Order: sequence, then structure tokens, then C-alpha cells
Amino acid sequence: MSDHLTGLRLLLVDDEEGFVTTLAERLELRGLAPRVALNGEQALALATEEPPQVMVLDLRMPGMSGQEVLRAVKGRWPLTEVIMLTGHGSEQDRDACLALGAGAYHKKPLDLEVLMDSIRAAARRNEERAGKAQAGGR
Amino acid sequence: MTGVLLVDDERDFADLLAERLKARGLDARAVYGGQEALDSLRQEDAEVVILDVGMPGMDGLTVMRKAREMRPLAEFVLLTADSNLDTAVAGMRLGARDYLRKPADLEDLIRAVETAGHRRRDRLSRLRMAETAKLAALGELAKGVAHEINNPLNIMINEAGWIEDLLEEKEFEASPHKAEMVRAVSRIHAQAERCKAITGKLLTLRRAPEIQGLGTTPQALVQVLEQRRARAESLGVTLAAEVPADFPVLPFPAADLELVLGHLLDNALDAMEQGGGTLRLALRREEDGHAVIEVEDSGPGVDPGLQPRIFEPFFSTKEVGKGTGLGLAICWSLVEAMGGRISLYSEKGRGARFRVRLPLTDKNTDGNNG
Repeated sequence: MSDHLTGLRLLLVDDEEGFVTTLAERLELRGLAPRVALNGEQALALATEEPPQVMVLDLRMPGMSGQEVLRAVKGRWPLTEVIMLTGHGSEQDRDACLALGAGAYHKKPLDLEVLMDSIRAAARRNEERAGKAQAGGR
Repeated sequence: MTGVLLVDDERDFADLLAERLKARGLDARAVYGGQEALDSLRQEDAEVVILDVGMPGMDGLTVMRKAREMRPLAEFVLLTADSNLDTAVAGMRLGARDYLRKPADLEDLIRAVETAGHRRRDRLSRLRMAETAKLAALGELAKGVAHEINNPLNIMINEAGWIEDLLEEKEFEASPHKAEMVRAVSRIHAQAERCKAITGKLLTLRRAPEIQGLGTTPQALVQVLEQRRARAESLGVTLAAEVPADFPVLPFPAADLELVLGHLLDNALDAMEQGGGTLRLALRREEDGHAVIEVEDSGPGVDPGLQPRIFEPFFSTKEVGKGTGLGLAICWSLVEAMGGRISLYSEKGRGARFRVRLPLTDKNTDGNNG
């Protein structure tokens, strides 16, 4: 795969277990190797082990909300690209997430190919920014 | 106030009264018998009907009952001789507002007409408030349902996609049922997508208008009409636009107004699917500073009995599966959110005219997101 997806560290965060496990399997079928977290706390624990390059994040979750997770992730791992996925989001939610640094905002139900495109674009952005950060560091 | 109908077989009295009412700036017309009154009402609505209940021919109460069926919002003032006071009392029970004894004093009658007009206006504004509250509540309900359905729908679409993915695997290649399974799951997928389109529409109900943009130009409205020219021509429908090019920019987001206009035009074309006709779009400015957008078709019109429900979500006169019954509900909620009003004028067999009235001044456009 030459489209930035090979070996991509991808983390899916959604409290709807049935949804997110199937989603992970479908993405695996397309050559990705996502990890899954069922809530914000789990997501942050997994990210601490190994910071993801791209995170697909549900907005409405019990416990930490998607926005809180987004803020925490962007604060600690600014290079991580976050794709918001929501069933209930309003225009204000979208604006708030984009202001907090989310790279994309999608409404559920979402076509898988649209999500794949979004992940691909996020992976490319992450690579570019990581490259720049490294170049700047030298 | 406009529209007073005088019904009295004493022609001189009826004509004189009509003249006096006209002199007061009221639009009055006189007829001289019960059947004639019903014919006149069928053609044109009246706000107040002054009815002599002691005319020869059709019984006064029958005239009143039939007239009320046809024009339920009209107010009735009865004229009666002493000899048939009972009829007048029965008329009051049937919903007449007032009765006067003959020979009636002209000034008394004029006062009675004016009072009836005021009552009608009060009643209409109460009805409209109740209607607004009902539609708003239905809109909220529909939106809530859409939210709840979206979640399971999301899972359905995802799982159907997963089955589709798996059926592409090698192990299913040899299965004699593969084609059938692919067909079945793709139908599930397609129907779920259809539900998604409906919930998507529902979620635009009671939505606040898009963030204020540059507004809508008259050219943008004409463009919405032009986009439908091909379909109109295929149906044998002539398009007419009365849109002044120098009309001021409407201070509302183009996306919202185009959505409203698009729904109205599509409905008008749907109404003329059989037999063609004329579709007219008009934009004009009213003296009180409101802009009016009118969409008029020459289709079969809307049954008066259905008109009160036409803006309700899920109310549709189209065949099941053809319309979602949401188009006009969305129009209503968007126009309402703009601080405007949408209404329908239609008589069975004589086409339909939708009228969107919008405030042009800035103070009316903000803080009104319902």
C-alpha cells in the first residue's frame, strides 16, 4: 500500500461495542490494523502505551466525552490526527471540535469508503507534519 | 377587513346596506336568496355573512349550515323578523355570532359587522398560534425519533457492509447461494440508506437557519427554477418567472431559501405530472416591508379538508413510498425560523398557490430561531 496506510497506528474509540468491533474488522479487511477503545479513559491509556497517528473518535460517550478526549489527545500528542464521528452532533459541536484541532467531522451512519478516504487523508497529514517536526528538530 | 356577504330577499335593503358598508371601506356584496348565497360562497370566501333567516325558498338554518361547512371561518350575523325569533335562536346555537331584529337599524348592523370582523381576527390568530405550537411540537418529536433511529441504523449499515465484505472472500466463491445472499444484503443496505435519507431530512426540521451569509439574490431564486426546466418540459409544464432583477438581496441564507423554494417547485411539478400546466414563480415587495415569494401551479389543487394538515410532518397526499411527507414541514420550520410565514391558497380543481412572506428588515431576522 502506497497510500500512507501501511503500518498506520490507528485507534478507534466508540462506546457502542457491536459497532466498533465490526468496524475494526472491516478496516482490517482493507489492510489496516486498528486498535479499539470503548471509552475515553481506555483510549488515553492505549494512547499512552503507543500514541496513535490517527484516531477515530465518537463524540457522545458515557464518562469522558469525545470533546474532552479530543482536548486531552491534542494537548499531549499534537501530531495525532483526530477524526470525529457522531450520531447526534450539532453545528456547534462540529465548530467546537474543529476549533479544538479535529481534522474531520463526520455524521453517522457513514459510508465506509468515506471513512477510508478520511483516514487516508488524516494519515497523509500526520506523515507530513511528523516529517516537518523532525526536520525542524534537527 | 374585506369580504362581507349580504343575503336578503329584500333587494333594496340589501343593496343599500352593501353601499353603506362599501362607503366604510368594507368590501361588501349582496345576493337575494339562499341558493345564490351558497353559490357565491363557493366562488369566493366571506369573512362575515349577514343572513336573513326568513327568506322564501331554502330554509335559513339550512343555508347557514351548508355555508358553514363550506366556509368554517366565516362569522354569521342573522336578521330576523319577530315572527321567527325562534329560528334566530336556533341559528345562534348553530354558531351564529349575533342576530338583529328587522327592520334593522343600519348603524346597528354596521357595528355588528365590525364586531364580527374583530372576533374573526381574534379567532384566526388563536388558531394560528395553536397551529404553530402543534407543528413545533410535532417537529421536535420527529427530530427526537430521528436521533433515536440513527444509532441502530448506523449499526445496521455497518453490519450489512461487513456481510458484503465477507461475501467477497474466497470461501464463498463456490457457494450456489452467493448471488442470492449478495442480492439480499445489498437490499438491506439500500433500504437502510433510505431510512438514513429520511432521518437526515427529519433532522433539518426545526433547525436554526444556517449561519448568516451574504443573503439570497433574486437571481439565485430564478436559478432554482431554471434547474427544474428540463423536468418541467418533459411534463409539458410552462415556466413563468416574475422576479424583478433589481429586487434587494433577501437577508436570509441562500442554502435555506433555495431549499424551501426547491421543495415548493418540486411539489408543484409533482401536482402537474398528469396533464402539464403552468408553474409561476413570483417575487415582490409588499408595502409593509415584507418580501413575498409565490409559487403557483395549475394542478388539481388541494382539497380544503386537507389544507390545515399540509404542513404537518409525515402528512403526504402522494402515494406511499413516493413522498416522505417532510418537504412542506421542513419549509414551514425554516420559514418560521426566518421570522416569516408560509401559507397555502388553493381551491379544489383550481391549482395551488404557496406564499412565503419574509421580513426584509434586519431587526426581524435575528433572535427568532424558535
